[in-house]
Parts: sequence; structure tokens; C-alpha cells
Amino acid sequence: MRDTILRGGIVLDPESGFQDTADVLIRGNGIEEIGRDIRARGAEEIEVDGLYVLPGLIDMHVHLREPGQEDKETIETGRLSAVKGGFTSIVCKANTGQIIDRPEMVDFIHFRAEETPGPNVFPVGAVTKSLKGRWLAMIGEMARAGVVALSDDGSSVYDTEMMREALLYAKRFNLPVISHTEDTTLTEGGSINAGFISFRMGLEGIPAESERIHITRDCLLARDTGAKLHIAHCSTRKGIEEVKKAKRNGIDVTVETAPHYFALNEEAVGDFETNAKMKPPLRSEDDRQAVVKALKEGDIDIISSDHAPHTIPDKDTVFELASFGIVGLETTLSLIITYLIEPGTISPLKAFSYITYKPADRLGLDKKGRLREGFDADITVIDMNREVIFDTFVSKGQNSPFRGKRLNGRAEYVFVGGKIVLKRGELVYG
Amino acid sequence: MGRVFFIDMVLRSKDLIGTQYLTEDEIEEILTTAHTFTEIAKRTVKKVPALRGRTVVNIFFEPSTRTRTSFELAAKRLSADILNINVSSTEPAYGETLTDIAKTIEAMNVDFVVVRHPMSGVPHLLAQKITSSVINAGDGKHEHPTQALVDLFTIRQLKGYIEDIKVAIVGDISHSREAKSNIWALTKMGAKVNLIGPPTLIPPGIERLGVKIYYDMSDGLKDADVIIIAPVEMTEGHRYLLPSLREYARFYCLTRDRLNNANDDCIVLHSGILKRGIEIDPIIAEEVYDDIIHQIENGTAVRMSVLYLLSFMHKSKLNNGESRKKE
Repeated sequence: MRDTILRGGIVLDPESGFQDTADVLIRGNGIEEIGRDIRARGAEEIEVDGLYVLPGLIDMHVHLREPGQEDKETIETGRLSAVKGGFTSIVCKANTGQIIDRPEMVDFIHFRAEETPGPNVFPVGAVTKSLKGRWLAMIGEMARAGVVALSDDGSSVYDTEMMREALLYAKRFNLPVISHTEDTTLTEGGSINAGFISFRMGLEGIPAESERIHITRDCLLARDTGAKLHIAHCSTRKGIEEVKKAKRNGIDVTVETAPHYFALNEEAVGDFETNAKMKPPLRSEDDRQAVVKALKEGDIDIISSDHAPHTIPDKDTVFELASFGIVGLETTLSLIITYLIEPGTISPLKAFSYITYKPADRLGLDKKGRLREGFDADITVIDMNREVIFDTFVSKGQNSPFRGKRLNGRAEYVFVGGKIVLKRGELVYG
Repeated sequence: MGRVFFIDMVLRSKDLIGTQYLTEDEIEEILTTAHTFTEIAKRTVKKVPALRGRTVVNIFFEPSTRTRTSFELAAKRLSADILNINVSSTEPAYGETLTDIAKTIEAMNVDFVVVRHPMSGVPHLLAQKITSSVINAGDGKHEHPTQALVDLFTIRQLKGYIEDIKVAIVGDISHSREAKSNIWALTKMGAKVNLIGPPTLIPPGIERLGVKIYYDMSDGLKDADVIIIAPVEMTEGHRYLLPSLREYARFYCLTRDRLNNANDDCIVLHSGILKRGIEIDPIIAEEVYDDIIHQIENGTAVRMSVLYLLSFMHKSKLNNGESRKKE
């Protein structure tokens, strides 16, 4: 394979804080050199003048749907969608049609992901068998097969004793447990945030406390067991405060939010817009501001898309019957740029830390998340000023409240393991 | 009906989805027009040709007698053709996607679709997909606009005015679409609204509309000119909300003692099946029965008014050159 030189871009490495105009030399599957005026005989030159060169983006919350729900997404279409959105590594959740709760399912994901070039896929294993919350999944065997975390995401582990034992058991294999944090007795029948809007639309509400109660519970259990805990898709001010408190008490907990929680509030549900229906639901403007503030101050650790593709019939129905979730792989980067970086709220270095080294470190992904010599040549090159309007997505899922909206910034080039998979914003096949 | 014919585009939408989407002027126009229609019921020939040749379809995904009959009568008195479709939850058609239902209706070239559905938002979604006028006859816990307009009409008929009138709504506000439509409409028309019920049956955030909330019934009924009873039920979903109907009655049944807190000439409205002994003392129920009968009588006039006014939206659409396949 020929060497590649990315010439003249603004190189950003969020972990070290490096930000300067430099060239990047890719050799084989690694980053060989970063510096000024790099020379390498026979190397392919790519001019990236004025573009930002970043460590490959990492999304630690993706629903790939395969196996079992291939009408919504496949591992292949999900990976293509990820490339389009600038991601070089994605972490897929276990709540597929057939649940990822045993090692052969993990092998299957790896097998499918190796069939075509594209982003690395790191599977998450289930905490409990069939996500039923009654019996531990084959955690040790899945750890050997290569899962990077455990989660019943899509459902919460409702039984407190089960959650406690799962944390203890997961600790033995050094795996973080990702908590979906939903007190289902409070959310049953609910489809949007509880409050004035749910009254106006005549819909059952989902109160903010449903999230907070399980965050509090799981933080206490993590303290007791000493296990690693990660809170998925945090959407409320109260939830963020609970995590902050837990961190102050020395609990090994991290927390993520999703772009829609800083870009939108409950008003986006408008009059029964099913493409703005997700779990947890879009919250109040006060909650949205709390999410932005927490990202600014570093109280949230990670941004993940919670990419949840659905078919048209899943969404083209009565609001209460419509599926929860929106696609996010292709919009996350633009939303971070448009809503966090452009208004000057958060510096690029800080904003990109949430989708590079922070998720890599939390999941212990080797040689990922940094743009530095000796690390994998997973690289994303971004045009921050490029205007984008999403009409359709590469993902099978077209369910997004951001369709048709004017946003800024997109991925221009993506390299995974030194191989180019996105060129001038277009997918490179084969 | 002299002035009715001068109406020019008083409604802004081709549909009636909820009172929350109506302006004060629109409510006013519907009530005024309804008044001119009350006279028709007193004639020997109870029919005017206003909607001759137009088609109204009642699609009910939930059983209803009063509302469906009221719409049917309204359509017939306006000389429209009417079709009733009842879809019970056991029929395969119940599982049809909304788009399919909408396409089927569109292909039938009807002018009005009156729809009732157990889930909130169905009329709204349907209205976006078809060119016919959609009238919400009750959707989930969302709205039941024509019933609220009937209540407003009755209040004005019996009291003479709506502005500044004191209305107490008692019962399960959270699950009552009639109550919700009433709250929107009454507050828009300047009425003072008290909500009375146990905290579990009052929706969160509703104070934003300027209503007052009372958990004690006697306090809430003080100086009321109108009492509207929102039906209370005990279903599986209510087991968290109420211990029993008996206990509910203990605190929220309209008794003589409680009624004495209201104004002497207070009227009582109820749009469904009266639960005597639970929502209202049986003796009081007999005394206020006339009010409720007025309410039912007015139902037809108000629904005629709605159909009539919405029919102008069709014509104006034609004039604007917008496509309407059928005509």
C-alpha cells in the first residue's frame, strides 16, 4: 500500500491539546509522522488546506440492528452511514433482533464487519440473557470474544440485585457496564417529556425522575462494587447533577449525552412529529441548557449519536405507536459543529474530545482516539464551514428531525487503518 | 340565516383538530353561526340545502353513540350525504397504517372526515395526508373540540356571555379530552377556570394556561357560574391514580352541600354517561337534567356550524386554484 500524506491541514489532537498546521504521513495502517513539510518518496498527496485533521471519530452508542432487524439497518449500511458521518469506530449495542448475549453472536458481528472496508465495529454484550433482566448473559465468554462493554441498552436492568451482581461480575473482566437508566414503572405508556407539551398533545409523559432514579441507584451500586459504570444518553439537568455528585465521591462513572439533547428541546415534537420521538425524550429548554453547560464545563464525558434506525412504517403511524429513536451517525458531527463550536460555546479541541479519545479511553480501545505517531491511522478530515442539508441518509433509517435543516460542517476524508473510505465527502467503495 | 352568507374565510384551517388551535374570533364565529342553526330544529322540515351534494364520512375507531349521531344529524340537516364506518379493534382494518387509511379516504373523494380514535394525534396526522376537511370527534387524551364548543354554546345560551364567567371543571382532567378542549376554549374566551380533582388526575404544567387548581371541591366551587363534570373511570391504568370510585365520590361527588358554594343560578354540564352517586348526587342530577338536555340539543347546531364553516374552506381552496381532484 502506498504511503499517504495529508498536506497542510490544521491538525488537532484533543488529548494532547496539539493544534497547528501540519502534515500527516500515513504508512501501512499507522500514523508514521506528523510535522511540517514531510517528504516521502512515492506517497500519495492529499491537499487538505484549511481542513481540520482529527483522530478518527468514535461513536460509542450505535444500534446496527443486525442480526434480526435487517429491514431497519444492516451492519454494512450502518458502517457506510458511519463513514459518511466521519466515524472510524463504532460501538454497537446488544439489542438486535437476536440479542448479543453469547460469544457466537459477538463473532458474527466481527465476521460481518470484516467483510467490507469501513469503520471498526466494537460490539457491546448484553448484561442479562435476552435482555430479560433475569439471568446473567455469558459475560466472561463474550469478554474473550472481544466485547468492549456490557449493556442491556434499550431496556434498563430493572432488578437492583441483578444490576449489583452484574457490576461485580463485569469488574472481574474489567468491562464497563453501560446503564440505560430508565425506571420503567415511571415511563410505561409515556412517549414524550412530561410537562406542558405532554398535556397539550394529550400524551402520557416521561418524567425526568425516571432517568435520575436509575442514575442514582447505579452510581450507588458502582460505589459499593467498585465497578466501572457508564451512563448512556443523559438528557436532564438532574441526571447530570447526580453524575457530578457521584464523581466527586470518587465513583468510577462516566456519562454521555446525544446531539439531540443539546440541539433540540421538547418543542421539536411539535404536533405529533414522530421523527422527534426517542427515549429518553427531548426535554425542556432548561434541560437542554444544562446539557450544553455540562459539555462546556466537562461534566459530560462523551457524545454519542444513539443512532437508532427505523423503517418508514415504524414511524409513519400514530405517535404513541411509533418506534422510539432517531438516526444520528450522519448528523452528529454537523450538530456538534453547528450547535457547540460555531456559537463559540466550546472550543474545537474540547468538543472533539467527546468523540475521540474520551470514548476510546473509557472502553480501552487500543491505539484509538489520538492523532499521534504510533497510533492507528484512523483519521477524519473535516470541513468546518461546509454547509449541509440532509435530504436522505446512507443509513437505511431516514428517521431524523434534522432532515431538511441547514447545518454546518461535514467529513471530507476518512481513513480507517490507513485505508481511505471517504473522499471529498463521497463514499469510496471497495 | 341572513348574515351567515357573508362569512368570508373566518376559519384559517380546513380542519378542526382542537380548540387549542382556534383563535378567539374563530370560536366566536362558530358559536354565532351555530345560533342561526338552532332555529332549524324547530321547523317542520328540518333541512337546509347548504351542503347538498357533499359527503361526510364518520370513521369511529372507538364506540360512540352521542357524538356520532349528533354529527350524522348535523350532516343530514345540511343535506349532505353521510357514511358511517365503525372500525372495532378486532377488525383487520384497525391495524392498517394511517397512510393507507388516508389514501383510501382520499380515493373516495369525500368532503369531510369525522374521526374518533383512542390515540392522541390521529386526526392531526390524517389531516396532513388528505385534502378533505378532518373534524376531530375525540382523539385519545388530546381533544374533543366540538364537545367543548357545544359546552361554550350552552353556557352562552343559558348565561348570556362567556367572558369573566366562573367555570369549575371537576373530575379526571388528565384523561378527559372534553375537559382539555374546554380549558383551551374557555380560557381563550376569557372565562375564569377552576380545575377540581385529586392531584393524580390533574395534568402537570396546566397552570400555564392561567387556570386555578383546587384539590378541595368546596373551595373550587366557590362562586361558580358553571360546573362541568369530567367523567371518572376506574380502569387498570387508574390503579395508581385512585384507590376506588367510592373514595373519589367521598371527596368529589357533586352534593347539595358542595353545590351550595356555587352561585345560585349555577348550571351543570356533563357530556357523557352520568355516573350518579359517584360524579353527582342522584337528586342533584334530576335538578340539573335540563341543562344537560340543552347541551345535547345544541350538539347538532354546533356541529352543523362547524361543517358549514369548514365547507367554505373547500370553496376558497378552489378559488385559489389549489388542486382538488373531485370537482
